Amino acid sequence: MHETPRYLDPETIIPIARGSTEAFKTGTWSNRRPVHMQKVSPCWTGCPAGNSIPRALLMASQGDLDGALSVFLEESPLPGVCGSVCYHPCEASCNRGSWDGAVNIRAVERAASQFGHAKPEVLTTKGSDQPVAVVGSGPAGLSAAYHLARLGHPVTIYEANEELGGLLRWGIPEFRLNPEVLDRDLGRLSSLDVNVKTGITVDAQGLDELKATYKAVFLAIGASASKRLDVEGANLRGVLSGLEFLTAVRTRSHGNLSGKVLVIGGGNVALDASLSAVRLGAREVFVACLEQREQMPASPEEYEFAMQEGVVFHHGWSPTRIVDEGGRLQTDFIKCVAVCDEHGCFNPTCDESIIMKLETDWIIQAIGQQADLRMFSGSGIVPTVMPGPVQTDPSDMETLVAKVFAGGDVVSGPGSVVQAIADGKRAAVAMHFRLLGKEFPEAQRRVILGAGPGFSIDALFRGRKGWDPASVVKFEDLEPLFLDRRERGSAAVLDPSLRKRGFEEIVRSLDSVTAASEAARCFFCGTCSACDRCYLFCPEICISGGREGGTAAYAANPEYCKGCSVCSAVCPRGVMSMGEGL
Amino acid sequence: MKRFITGNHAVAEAVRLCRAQFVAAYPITPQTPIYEKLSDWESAGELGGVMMRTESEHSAMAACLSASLTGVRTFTATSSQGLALMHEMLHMAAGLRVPVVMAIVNRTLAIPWAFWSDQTDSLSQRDTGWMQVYCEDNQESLDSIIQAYRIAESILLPCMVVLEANFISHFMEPVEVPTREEVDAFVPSVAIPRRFDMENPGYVAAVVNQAQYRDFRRLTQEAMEAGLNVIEDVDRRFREHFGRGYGLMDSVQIEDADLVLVTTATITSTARLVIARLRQKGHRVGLLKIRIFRPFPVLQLRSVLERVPRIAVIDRNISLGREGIFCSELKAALANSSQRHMIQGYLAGIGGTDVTPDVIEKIVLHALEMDKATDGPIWIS
Repeated sequence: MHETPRYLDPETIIPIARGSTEAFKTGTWSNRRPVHMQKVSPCWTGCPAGNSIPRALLMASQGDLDGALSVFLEESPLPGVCGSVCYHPCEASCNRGSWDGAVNIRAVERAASQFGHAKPEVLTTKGSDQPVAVVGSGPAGLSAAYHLARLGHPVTIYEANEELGGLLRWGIPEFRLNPEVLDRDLGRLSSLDVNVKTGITVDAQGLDELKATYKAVFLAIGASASKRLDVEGANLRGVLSGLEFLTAVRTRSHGNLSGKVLVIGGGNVALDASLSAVRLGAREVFVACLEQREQMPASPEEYEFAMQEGVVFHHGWSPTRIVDEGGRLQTDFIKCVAVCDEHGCFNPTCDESIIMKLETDWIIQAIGQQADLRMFSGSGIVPTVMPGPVQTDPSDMETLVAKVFAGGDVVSGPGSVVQAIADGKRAAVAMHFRLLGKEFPEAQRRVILGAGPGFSIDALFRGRKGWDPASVVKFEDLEPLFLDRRERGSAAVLDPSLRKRGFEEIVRSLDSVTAASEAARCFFCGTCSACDRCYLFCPEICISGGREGGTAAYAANPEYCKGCSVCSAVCPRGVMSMGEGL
Repeated sequence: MKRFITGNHAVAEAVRLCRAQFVAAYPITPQTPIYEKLSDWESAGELGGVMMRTESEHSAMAACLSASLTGVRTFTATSSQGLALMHEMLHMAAGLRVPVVMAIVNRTLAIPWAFWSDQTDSLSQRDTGWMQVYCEDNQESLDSIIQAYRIAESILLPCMVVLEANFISHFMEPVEVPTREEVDAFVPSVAIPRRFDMENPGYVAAVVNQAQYRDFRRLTQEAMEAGLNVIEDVDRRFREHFGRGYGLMDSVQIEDADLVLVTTATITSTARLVIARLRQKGHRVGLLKIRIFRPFPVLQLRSVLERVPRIAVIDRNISLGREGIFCSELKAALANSSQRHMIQGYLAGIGGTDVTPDVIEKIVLHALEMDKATDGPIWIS
């Protein structure tokens, strides 16, 4: 019997598919292909510390607060601190803001720090023979020490006080930052190679010794000197300085306040002082500041708390003198009609014809802080001509003295905690590469989040595939058809009537269930949640993938994908996008 | 037994004798008598199969190819506009490799409307992947239908048997109609692969990629190429069985010919007389009838015409903008000959005009006297 020639085999001469049409490959129809490319969210790029918020919230939403904490620990040692006091620029840029209110990211971070268990991960051991010193243990110093240790460097922290924390411990009242939260964050440093020397104040000579002992030094002593009013009577008895007052309150070395208290200033220190004064028994507390309410640097949340506690605000006033009126302090003000000039620079314009007088028992001046660099004179850190704050090369944060780096408030003046954390991280990476004799590698440019300047240290050292950190998912990139509307969850707030009795924290942590529920509001913009929509909607049934380990990925089989872009259209979070010529 | 019947009737007889199980058709002049005859037999319980009266030729072919995929022997017939309407489904039938047999009664394509013989309708289906057989008379039409079933089912390609309007379809001739037993002995019982099978379902209109498409086309072309041998083999067996046969082509006195006249279909019968008459007058002329158009018997034609210096081709069809289609095909087939031929195309019989012996003689004599062939056709009227 002859073998049937191929052109006569009934099963092969026509395009017949039995059981499955997979014999017929339609992938050549289009050169468009879906690309599963994770991107970054506005909250992520909005976080100076570079916290991978959507990834952390994705884990939190699944009840995995350990995982969420470990994600926060990728970029910052202080999730508890940021979860309590951060001014959360992430939430300001949240894509959900225009939908039903930004996700309460800060509260989720706080809950992760409170209920999650995770250890910081060492990213490399390459720095192990390059010991470094960190001077100061505020947020910048802690962040630098933390990341330097994760990069393998033996780190020694020098702290003037007996306990770590710097501004976090001594400058932020307990009702805003629970010391337990700070201690929990600090406790995680113990797993890293970080040596702590407290009670040591480093001066110019000390700095020289550190330079001789360590391969590099990071200077992060903060801005702890309160500025004083340049008006008559600013040195009268009863006129206190904001940060010193807060430190005294924190150390329980300040007695109770009676009568009326005037706080001058519009920042967080001013409001912290006003609320502290309330707790110390002040009968009436006034805050007078140059700014109108919406211009105040203080956080709106704290302003609300102050209002709830009866603090009276006088906006748009500039003090001109303080007079001792028989044991009481009278402050004269003129009207401030503009805080900034036409260039947007701080340059108040006042109308002297409009005046106000306030008579109080105490005055707390909280008009800003600066670095106290007197002990570093002659070290070369501070320019001899036109002395001012410590200057650094913005590209690598190195000071005028080689191998001495600096960051945080000592360089930039009073800023935010999260900015100081960002400085510490950036300095740690710069110091690491300097000590390894490397320029900033190209790899670092590839982990810049959005337009920068934030970057991911975790991605830099551990690598991350299928991720385009330069690409920021906008609201228009989302598919809101799949998104519910649910009101923003708020953490419990201590009743105003109960606050005055002590320094109990005002904003409590979410419980773990509520934290997961709030995290679940997150769109996870740009972060694949393995929701399977691309897989389910693909008309060609040619998408495969899902979660594998910690990462989720999907891919279209190029033999069948016609480039119809349904998967990309239904991706709720802008991860599936269409590419050309693939 | 010889019967005096029309070509259409002869075709219908062949279909019934071959035990076609499924006939789907739509009436169109001049094919309608085939449809009517089969319909009469069906209503009288004499057909043996079922008829499906579709709303169009397009549907008729869709029905036939679908039925054929279930392993059923099928038949349809059409003409002219009906064939043109069916065009899309012709490609599908060939692509699906179904051995559907179809009678085409050549008729002019509109516009203008007319009902006369003209081969352009079937020749327009040249590239659909159907085998095409052109018949000279009523007997050949009947016999070609019988052969077509055996050929188509062997090679799994559809086959159209082409007869001319009026000259065959409606002219009555004595036709030897074989007995059922004779046909049963020649046409095997139905063994068409069942590709639509409820027990083993499949999807046959699938989408393929470029390379897959190319490979399917290539297999179909291989089947077409193999088809020539099958056609010759079936015709040889037919001759053994019935005592008559037709070959891929038929040649008359071409061995010593100075000129060979190439014809198809009914013009051939007239030409046979003319060639005999011219031979008597001392002209060394011969005749070649092309019977199989697809697959085109290139090598066989080249071999037969190898030593013939002059060739005149009569076409009852035209590819507008070029010439008669058989002429073009023949020129292409001989392009790689070692011998140079003078090939002159003539258009005669277009629109069913009568091609008389005088017309053919005029053509032959004209071609004999030419020094050089014209590139385009010469119209004979």
